[in-house]
Amino acid sequence: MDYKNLAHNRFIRFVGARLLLTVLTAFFVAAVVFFAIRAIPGDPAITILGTDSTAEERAELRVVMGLEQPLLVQFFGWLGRLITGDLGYSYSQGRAVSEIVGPALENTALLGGAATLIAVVLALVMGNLATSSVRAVRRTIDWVEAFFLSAPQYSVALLLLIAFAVLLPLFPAGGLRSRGDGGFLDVAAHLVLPATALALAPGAQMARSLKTSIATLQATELLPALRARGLSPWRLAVHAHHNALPPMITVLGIQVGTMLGGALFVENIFSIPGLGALVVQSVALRDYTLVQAVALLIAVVFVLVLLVSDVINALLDPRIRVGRA
Amino acid sequence: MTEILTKERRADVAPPTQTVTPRFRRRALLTRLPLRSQVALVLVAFVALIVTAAPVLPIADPFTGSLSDRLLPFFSDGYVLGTDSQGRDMLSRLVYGTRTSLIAGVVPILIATSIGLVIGTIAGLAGKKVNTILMRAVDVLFAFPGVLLSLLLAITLGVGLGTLIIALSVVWIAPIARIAETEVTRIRDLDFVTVARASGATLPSILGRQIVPVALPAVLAYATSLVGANVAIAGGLGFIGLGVPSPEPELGSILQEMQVAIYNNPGLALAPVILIVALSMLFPLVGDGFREAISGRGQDS
Repeated sequence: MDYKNLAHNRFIRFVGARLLLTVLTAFFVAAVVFFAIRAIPGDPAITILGTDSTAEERAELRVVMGLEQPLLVQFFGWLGRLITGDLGYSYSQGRAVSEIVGPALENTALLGGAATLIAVVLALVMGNLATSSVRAVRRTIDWVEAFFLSAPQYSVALLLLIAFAVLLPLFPAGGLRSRGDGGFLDVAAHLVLPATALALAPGAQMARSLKTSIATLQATELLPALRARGLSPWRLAVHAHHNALPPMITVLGIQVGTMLGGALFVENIFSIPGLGALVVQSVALRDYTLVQAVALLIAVVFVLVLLVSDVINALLDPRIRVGRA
Repeated sequence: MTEILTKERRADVAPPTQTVTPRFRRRALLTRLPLRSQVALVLVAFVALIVTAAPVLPIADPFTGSLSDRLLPFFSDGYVLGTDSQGRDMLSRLVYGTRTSLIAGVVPILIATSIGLVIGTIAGLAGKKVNTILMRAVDVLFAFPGVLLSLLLAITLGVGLGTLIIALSVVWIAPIARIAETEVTRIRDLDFVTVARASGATLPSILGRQIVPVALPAVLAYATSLVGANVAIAGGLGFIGLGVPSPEPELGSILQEMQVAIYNNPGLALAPVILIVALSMLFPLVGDGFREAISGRGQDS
């Protein structure tokens, strides 16, 4: 019982250390976003009021926006407001940023969820085919993997759009819901192409990790031993995949970053009103309050995903939490 | 007694090449590359040759177009690959666009490799404190998806080829520094470095003769692979209007311009897509090949 307690404490200590690191990283990420946006040349007051505004109007707005305060005061003020949920005011949309990002976050989460699902299926199929005993199959998977890993998401998105929405109109070419519909099947049909465009690289990356794990396992005598004990092929496969799970989760966590980056382009191509499309729009409109908030949100989501993937791994594999804590 | 001494001396002066059997003699690096990497390398060289020779090639001017010839399909009169939305010759736009994309793809990696190598080497050789600080800074850069970081930097620095190159360089410093640090840390404790240190070699000499030359191949192979991802990001920034400003041709912005043709003339949009995909794929093929050849795994397969 003592022993059990100890392991428990170690887990809590691991999560605590990891949480502290996450908060620190999030703080520095916020600093990078804040100072990058602040370093943009030009007067934000002119951007908002236009060049025909008077000097007094601009000065007044600068005071209202807090731009006359020292940079560090501005930074910590901004950070404090962020923590209370006040993300600022978007001048291009005339609304509070927090009202705008809510639905966008939801749409991006939907897209990301669908992409993750496709990526996992893809990884299981490709990873197993890559360890096939047939040479031609392995060769083909090698090439498919090379394509999936390096083809940019926006070019994949355009290829899918041309192939399966224009030449062969199987799926809708854009949006998230049809007018007057919006049921599960409708949303799913809208998600297939953009989610696939985002899923290829993460899927191939996870397939690589799965392939390595399975190959490592095949070099040991575990599988023949289990087979000799009379386990069914299905149970054997479960055993083979169990060891592969933690590295795959780590890869998936990192690849969420790739997906979030890719969402910038893919949401634009398929006109999905998510965070990525919002960033690109607000860049075009020079609404830097909105860019700042959304960029930070994307980075924080990514940092949190990395935290969650590490914690899940620590739960799955005791060696990780003991080794690092 | 004397016999033993001469024996030892003889072993001492025996040229080391005699003990190496021909079976283990190193073949030239290029011939040790896997076939697909050799093919990719030849293709990269071919593309580089074409875009370098672009000014003397018999192709149209990429900037002038006639408004009556807008969005012509492939093999139109005088336009082998058709025209873009402003009636400019697509073949010429693509050749010059590939040149810009290659520059935006390769130069930032060169810059990032130089800086990343320095940071990684310092972190690998310095004490624990310096290492922790440097590597935590690298971790913070890792917390940004590469596209997002480059986007932030691109809007901070303003659009243009020069600023694009700076923004992309910053993105790749972190990954390269991390690889360099791993390599240097690994090499630092190997026997031949200890021997060099014990025989009184100075730090610059150890760095220049033992550590950097041994760490470099792995770092360079990795950097070569990264060129592909960098071409992809550079094209992406061009695609959302943050790359090289028009009318300068660049594959990403050509792609964005050609999006309008998707419904009526998908082929026109396909050409820049294929070029970007090809460039993004070729460099990782070359880089991974080099990595395999260096680690010796290439000889097995």
